[in-house]
Amino acid sequence: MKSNLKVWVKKASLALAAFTLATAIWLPCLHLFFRKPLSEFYQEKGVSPKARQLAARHLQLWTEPSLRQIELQKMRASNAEWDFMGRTFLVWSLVNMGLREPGMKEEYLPVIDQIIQETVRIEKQDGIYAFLMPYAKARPYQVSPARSLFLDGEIALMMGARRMLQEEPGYKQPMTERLNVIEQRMRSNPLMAMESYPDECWTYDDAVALVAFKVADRLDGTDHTALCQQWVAMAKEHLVDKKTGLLLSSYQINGAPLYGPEGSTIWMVAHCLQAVDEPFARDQYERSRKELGRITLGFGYGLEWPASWQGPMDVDSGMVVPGLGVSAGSSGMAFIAASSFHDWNFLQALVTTLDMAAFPSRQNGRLKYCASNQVGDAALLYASVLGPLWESIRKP
Amino acid sequence: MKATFGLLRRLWKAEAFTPAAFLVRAAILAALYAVSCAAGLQEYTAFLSGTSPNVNLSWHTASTLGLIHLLLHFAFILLVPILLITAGLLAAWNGYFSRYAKPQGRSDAA
Repeated sequence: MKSNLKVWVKKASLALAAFTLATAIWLPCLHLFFRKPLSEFYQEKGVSPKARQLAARHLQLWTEPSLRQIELQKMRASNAEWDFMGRTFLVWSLVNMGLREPGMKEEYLPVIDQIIQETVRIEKQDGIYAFLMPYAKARPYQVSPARSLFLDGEIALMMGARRMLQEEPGYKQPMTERLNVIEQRMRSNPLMAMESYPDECWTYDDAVALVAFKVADRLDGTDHTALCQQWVAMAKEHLVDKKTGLLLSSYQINGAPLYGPEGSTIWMVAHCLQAVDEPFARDQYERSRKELGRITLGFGYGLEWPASWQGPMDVDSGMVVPGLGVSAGSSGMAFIAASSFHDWNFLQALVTTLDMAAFPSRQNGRLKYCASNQVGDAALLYASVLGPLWESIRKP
Repeated sequence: MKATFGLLRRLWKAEAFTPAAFLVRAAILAALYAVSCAAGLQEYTAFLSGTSPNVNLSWHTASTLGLIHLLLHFAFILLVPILLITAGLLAAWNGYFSRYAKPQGRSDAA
């Protein structure tokens, strides 16, 4: 009996040793099975194969209303904002694709116009709350009439981006009106704060609005340079987290911090600031990369919070892997920043994770990621084609 | 056919901690993953992005299906290769042991 036990223990120990060795062999190799040339995701010139497939899927959603309805229903069940952001990311993507391939403009412009017009129609018909989370109705906006910088900034940038691809006079006045409201509200208080939700201002929305001003300057000959510089100076003084040097995600209209440097916000902020103040944007990206970007065993991902900040996970964080702190929201936005700042090593690692864990599904040349949703896929599409629009804004 | 079933039966009844036992476990996981893929459960992994994977199912049910697929996926890409490598290492060890250690044992006994 004793001898049997001895044999069993010997076999088990041998098996355990073999299992441990096998694990040590396999784990460092795993990423090699998912790693593909980066050019499949992002290309400096032209459109990458993945971008083309992702775009084909989105164009299908906008040409087949029943499919779009299903996708929007799924997202709106969790967050109405995603419906809106899915639209804006898609418009910005199609504009970049049109600038990359001018021959395709004629195909993209009708979809871009359809998205902008439908979005404005919904906002007009159902009010700003149509694209906001229900808590927006819980209390009144501090400044009336109620306006959301989230909507005004992104719609203005959608219109401006469309005009950058090809001028459409019909968008000039509504874009200018929105920017005038934003400018007036920003100038009305020392923190240049404009609410996105009642008494809740987001640096994400500030940064998008600043890009919209830059687009207007390029298109209409206005000059918002001083306004943008003023915002950057104010942000450096009042909106930076002292421990990380990163911009806060949200704050009250009196400047009191709400959320700290959240991954699902800061990556996009850095990307937008690139069109406004390149050195500050790069500083924010490098800090974000250090605090929130990780590559483990060849797989890249984003954390939602830096180690020094204990914050809750909100709906934008997506699912967070316990223990590792990997956030779907932060990882998705990290693609945009990595692509924008040409951090090819990190971008490659992120794409490797995407292919490993996001369940790509291809059908008739159309690609979607099952673990993602329409807004997630639109953000990925944007990351895979961004560049030309920002370049044309920054051109001297 | 008979030989195949015979082999399967031998593998199924393989003693614990043997290469065959690891192979069987790898095969079971791979088969379960194949079933999950064939059933289209990958569509339910949308719960990872905080999205309702299927508006006709409750969030709980749909997320459970997604979680099952997610676990099987990671079992397939992580555990299955590790089990196969383990089986290979054990088989190599056993081969080495039977080739070099046993003859020496016999001569000692003699």
